[in-house]
Order: sequence, then C-alpha cells, then structure tokens
Amino acid sequence: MSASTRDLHSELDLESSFTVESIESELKHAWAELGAQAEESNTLAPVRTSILTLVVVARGEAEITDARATLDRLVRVLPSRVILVSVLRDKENISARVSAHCAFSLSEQGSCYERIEIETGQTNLRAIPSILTQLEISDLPTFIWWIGPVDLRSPEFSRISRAAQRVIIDSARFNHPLESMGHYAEYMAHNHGDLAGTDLTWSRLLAWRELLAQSFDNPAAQEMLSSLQRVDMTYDPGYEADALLTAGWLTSRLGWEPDAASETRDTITFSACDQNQRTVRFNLTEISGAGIGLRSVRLVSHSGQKSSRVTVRRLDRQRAAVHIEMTGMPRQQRVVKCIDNTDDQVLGTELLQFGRDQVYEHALNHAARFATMI
Amino acid sequence: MTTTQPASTNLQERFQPAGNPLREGLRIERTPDPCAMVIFGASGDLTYRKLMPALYDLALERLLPAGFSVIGFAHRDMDAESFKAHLREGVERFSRFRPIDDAIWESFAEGISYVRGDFNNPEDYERLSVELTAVDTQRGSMGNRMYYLATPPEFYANIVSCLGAKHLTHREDGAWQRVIVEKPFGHDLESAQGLNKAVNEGFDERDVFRIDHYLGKETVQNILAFRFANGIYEPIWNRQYVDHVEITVAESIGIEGRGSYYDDTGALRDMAQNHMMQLLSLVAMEPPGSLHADAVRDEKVKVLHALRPINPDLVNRSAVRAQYADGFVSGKQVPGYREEDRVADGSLTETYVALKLFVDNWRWADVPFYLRTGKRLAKRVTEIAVHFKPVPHRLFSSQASQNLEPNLLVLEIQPDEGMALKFAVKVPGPTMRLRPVNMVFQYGTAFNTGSPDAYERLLLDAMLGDGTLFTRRDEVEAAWRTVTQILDGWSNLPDDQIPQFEAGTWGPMEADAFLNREGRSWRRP
Repeated sequence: MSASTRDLHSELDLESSFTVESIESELKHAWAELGAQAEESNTLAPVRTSILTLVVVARGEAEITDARATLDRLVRVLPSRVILVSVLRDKENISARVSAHCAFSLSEQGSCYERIEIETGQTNLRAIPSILTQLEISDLPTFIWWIGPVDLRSPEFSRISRAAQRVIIDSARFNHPLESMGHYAEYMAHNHGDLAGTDLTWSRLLAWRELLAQSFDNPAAQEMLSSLQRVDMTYDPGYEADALLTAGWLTSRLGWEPDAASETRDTITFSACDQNQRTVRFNLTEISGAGIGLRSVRLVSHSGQKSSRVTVRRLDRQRAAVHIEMTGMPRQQRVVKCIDNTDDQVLGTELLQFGRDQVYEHALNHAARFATMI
Repeated sequence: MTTTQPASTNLQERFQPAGNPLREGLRIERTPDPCAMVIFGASGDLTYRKLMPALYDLALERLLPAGFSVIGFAHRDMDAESFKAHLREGVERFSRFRPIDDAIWESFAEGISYVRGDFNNPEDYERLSVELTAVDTQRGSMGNRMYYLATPPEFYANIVSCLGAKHLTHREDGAWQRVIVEKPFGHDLESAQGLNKAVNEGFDERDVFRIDHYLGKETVQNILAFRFANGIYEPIWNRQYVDHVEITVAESIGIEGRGSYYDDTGALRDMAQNHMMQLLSLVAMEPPGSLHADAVRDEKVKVLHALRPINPDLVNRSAVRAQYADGFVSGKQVPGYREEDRVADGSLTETYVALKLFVDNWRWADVPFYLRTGKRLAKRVTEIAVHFKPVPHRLFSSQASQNLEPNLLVLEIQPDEGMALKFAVKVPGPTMRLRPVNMVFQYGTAFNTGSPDAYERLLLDAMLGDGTLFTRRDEVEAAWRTVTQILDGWSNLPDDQIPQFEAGTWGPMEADAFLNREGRSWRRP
C-alpha cells in the first residue's frame, strides 16, 4: 500500500448479548458504517469481496498479539473473513468483537475484510466448532491456522480442525518439532481424503525446493538424480525439522525408502534405498550460526565417468549461492534471492492453495519415518 | 548439447510434471533451458526500460536458468562494462523490485557482454558468432539462442539474413534458435507479408515470437479464464443473446514526443491492427480444444479470417477517423495533434479511430463489434463491453420500466481490472418501479498482489518455447488484411480533411453519429 492509503474501520463489541445472529447483524452494521464513512470522505464505496474464511486459534496474550499483527498485514492483500479465536485462561464465557476494515489508496479500489474476534476460556472450547460452522462463508474454503504449539493428538485439535477444509500448523513453534511431525502425519493419515493439512515450516522451505529442483531441470543434470550418492545438509540449532522435512521431500520425490538412522552429538545420519536397493546417505549436521534455519544442501552424484555436485548455500537472510559442477559442463555459480519470508507472507502463500498438497504429505510421511528411527 | 525442448511446448505442458521429479508442486514446471539472449538494438530505450528490468526481475524471482547470458549488439561505441552500467541504471529505475540487490545484480551481470556492430555489416556477425561460442563454453548455454530484434523493422530482414549467413539461425545438434520481433510488424498487408517471408527464411515459424505486449497483461489472459473457466457465460455468448460488443482502448496521453513515428503510423496501425484485434479475437473465439499454443491461436485466427471484408469504396460505413485538437486533459491545457513536435503541418494522420466490424460465422452473424481507440481522450481505460439484447417481452408497465436498460457485462482491463454486470432490480416501495444497478468485481479487492510485468511473462514464455501469447504469422496477416482495406479506402477519399475533436473528450461527433444512426451510443466508461 502506498503512503496515500486511507483506512476505514468500524468496530462493534458484543460482550454481553453474544449470539451468532448478533455477530451477523453487527457485521452488517459495520459494513453500513464503512459505506457511510466512504461517502463522507469521498472515497470509493467499499466492495465486500471474500475469497475464503480463515480461522486463527491463538492461546494466551503473546500468541493473540502475534496473530493480530500477522493478520493486519495479511488481510490487506487477501480479503477474507477472519475469525480469531482467542483462548484466555481466565475467561469464563464466550464474547465477540466484530469489525470491518477497508484500506484505500487514492487511485484504487480498496481491499476490504471483516474480522470476528471470539474470546473464550479453555472450558468453552468445545462450543467453538458450532459457532465456526455458522460463521464460515458458504461455498468458499475455510482454513484454520493454529498459530502456536498444540497437542496434535488432542480431541480439541481434532474437533476444531474439522470445521475447516485445510489445517495449517507451524512446527517451528513446537517444543518438539520432530515428534510433532510424527503426530501430524498420523493425524493426516487418520483423516485421509477429508482434510488437507500443511505446515508453515514447509512453506518456508519453498525457495530451497525451487533452487534444488531448478538445478536438475537441465536434462543432462536430471540423469544424475538417479545416481545420487550422498546428501549433506547443515542447519542452525533448533532447525532440525527443516532439514528433516527437506530430506523427506527428496526421498519421497525420488522414490526412495527410509532405511536406517543414527545420531551423534551434532550429526543425524540417515540412509535410504532407491528402487535398485542402492543406499543413499544423508548427513544432517547442526552448525553454530545466526539462527537462519537451513544453511546448506549439497547433492553429490557419481555414475561411471560422470559426476556432479550441486550445492545451495545460504549466504544471509536475503540470498543464497548456487554452485553446480558437472562433468562436461562449465562450473556454474550464481547468487539468488532466498528471503526469510514473514509469517503473513508464508501464510498468504498457503491460503492460495485450496486443495491437498500431496507433495507435502509424502514429504511429511518420509520425514516422520526418519524421525522415528532416530 | 544433449537435448532441448520443442518450440511448441505450451502452457499445459508447463504445468504438468515433466522429467524432473523434484518439480512437482512448484510454481512452474521447469525453468528454461540454459541459453543466451542476443539483443539487437541493445543500446535503445526498449532494452533500458523494459527488457533488462524484466530480465533482472526474472533473475530475482529465480526463474532464469543457471548460465543465462545476455549479449548486447548495437552500433553505439561502448565496452561491456559501460554497457552493464547503462543497463544497471535502467534496472534501478524500472525494475519492480527496487532498490536492486547488489549481490544479485553482480551475479546476473557476469553473464552480460556487448558486441559493437552494424546491423547491415556481415563481418560484425562474425564477432557475434565468436562471442556466442565463448558464452557456450564459459557459461554452458549449450548453443540455445534467443535473438531479440529491438530495432526498427527495416533492419529485420538484414539481421536475419546476416545471422543465417553465419549459420546462427539453425544448428544440427538440437539446440534451439528463436527470434523475438517487436511491433510494428509491417505497415500494411504487403509489407507484413514481406517481413514474415524474410524472418521465415531464417527461422521456422514455430521459432518466431512476435510480441504484442498486450497479450502479456494478466487481465488480457483473464479473458480466457473468464470465458472458459466459467460455465455460465458460454451459453449466452452468441448472437441469440448479444446485441453488440464494444471494445475501447482509450488513452489520455498524447504522442509523448514520438511525433515522427506516430505521424507515419496513426491509431489504426498503432493500436487497432494489433492490440484491438487481439482483444476482438479473444472475445469472439470459439473454445479451443486445449491450451496448446497452436490450438489457441488457431481459434483466434479463425475469428480474424471471418471478419467481413470492408469495401474500400464504402469505408465510411465501417470506420471513422479523427484527430485531437487542443483542449484540456485532467485540468491541464494540452496542444492539438498538429501542434505536437515532429508532426507534419496539416497532417492527416488519425489519432482516433472507430470501427464497425462483423464476424461472419455461426456464433456472431450480424452482431456488430464496435472498436474505438484514440489518444487524448477523456480518460485512460481499456474495456470490453458486451451489450445483451433486451428482454423479449416487456412484462412491466412502461412507467415501471422507463429506466430499464438491457443487461451489460463489462470486462475491465485497465486501469481497474475486473468486471461489472448491470441488471435490473425493483426500487423498494409500494409500487413496481425498476432501475438498473451494477454488480462489480475488481481483482484488486480479491487479489491485492503484484502482477509480473508483461515483458517478464513474455520473455519467460519465449525462452520456454511457449507461443500462446505471441502472434502467429497468419494472425498478423489476417489482421492486416482488414486494416489494409480501411487504409485503402481512406487513401481513396477525395477530401484532404480529417475531423477534429477537443482533447479530453470522448472523440468526434462523427463517431457518435456513427452509432446513433443505428440506434446505439458509445459507453462512457
């Protein structure tokens, strides 16, 4: 949005007489109020466009603050009905606050969205799915984003997630991300076909997947995929889930089966077997670093007289260097963009995907199998 | 060189898994093969403002292949370093991603070189050949070449001939050689056929990519999505329900210092022959069997072939031309066309044109397509308005429905991208009174994200060998056939006058009368 952006905002509280009908009624008032504000300020009339319903579940003040900040940025580019479910420890009843927002630039039609904030205590969480079902926009997909760690085996997670067609977690925020991968894979398998799920950690790895895939677009390089012998990865402390998910993606895409795993002080070693029972080794090494995440991936191949080495190495939070060495080809190296996307950016990418992400599901399954071997 | 993608690779194939298993689920199916792009006329404005910013943006988006190289070829005396500095300045000014990233620019610029040469001097192509071989060796471009003719059309034939003479247009090892040509592609049908012949002497038609940057715009591509991804419009998209179609490409700017070019060209050649004919064919085409480049273009060209011939002796029944006089645009006084720099005194070049065309086929028989374009009109707008027929029986009293108008569907292309449907509703109250209302959808309210520049999309498609968004030889010639009939008619007119209209208005009275006599009027967008 440009500096000439103008915000219109209408907000109403429903602290005392909360019903789903009252939420809908107050939303209508909020939109009418927006229309009046636009007329007074000679701004274009707000256009109520929605492409999805997004439910966000946040627990405690820190997560709620974080969720609001992320949504404020996200909804400006992705007009939606957003329902923020704030779970507060001491809250005894359920209350709601309704608001509608439009951000206009001087020359353009504004982007408008509506937000419903529902506050509840833990004990009333059971009632939330019945409210969500009534508030979701008909005929458009509903997403649910669990912003923080959640017990993926709990009935509460299962019940609330059923209100959506797509569930989004962020395993990077979990205390035990490797364990959570296994639980999430179990959950997805249990709901096979009914529910799509993803993980913002997976979305953050998109640039890595693109850079690695791109290195094998050239048909000459593609041949070397079938003779990969070793994959070396390095990562910053706390980011083993990123490395594991990348390994799961590679093995699932290449049709390899997880075979064995071992762990030393700072290195996790896996092996996988290809269709010819050939063993490929994965070395995932933790290095001390600046907390960027995955730091490098190197794929090494040998086949007869040919060999190749593809390395993607993170230079900083903005860039990566790609080196490709292949028999019979000049050495290629370049610097490319590889940005740490913010939560609203990765969430925005996920919200544009409506169906199941089977590539992710397969990668998660493989990563979970590796995790159980450690 | 091992293998290459066929030039007919198309959109559909790009979004289906190919040979690389790691590609599944990613944004695009593959990046282009390693290649070198040679830009003829590399010191010019197009390279500075459009091509290099688009290429840098593609590099930044990780959409270019490793080893991608650019070789500038132009007459201006400079070395590779000063060429790079010149390009960097353009990127700093016109890239979508500013400020530019120094490290990524440096990495990208490693692949940029410059060959000073005369387009007509065969010896200079020898040096180009040497440079291309060096690029293959040092950067792994594998013999794949994309030649971009960012030059005036009079050089096309010589450039292609000189490339051919140095064996730079075909290779035996399977590497691809493609050429991108800019508009104007010809001055009339005969010159377009001559240019096509010259270009096709060097390159197979499947390797020729004629750019009409309008086709690279997201909203123009959305016409295909709107028509063929929704089931509700197609049943009414025909002569049974459509009364007429209006296509407007209006500009509020003048000729912006391009007097000498524009005075030789005029609105009909500059806009109608290419952009407007493309919009017309996208709106009127039959559903293609697939999104293969040739499947789409086959259907588009059928529309152009079906255009009813215009009798040059009766040209005024099909076309109105005019010129803007001085006036006010956005509150500012602007000069008339004949007062613009480098415009001939007493010029008769049209800055405005309105056309009435018929697509003589089963779907559109006798449905008029009204096209208008011009400079210094009331505002900048591009849109396609489909006017539907009135209801067959007037159920409501004349008093109730006195303001009732037939349904109208408007596809807005710029500046606001979206669509609007006008329909009738009852005015609340005890009596039955009707009035029209608009239901509006605007892309900006649903997808408030940046779109790639048209040149980014088109350059990437050309590197991928996807010709869907480029005009084919038969399309260009079919469009010129109709336009040349009009030009012939105008050249036969005895008078030396051209109607004038006040700048900042919607065009001449003659254009209003053109529609009024058929009981219709132009929309005010």
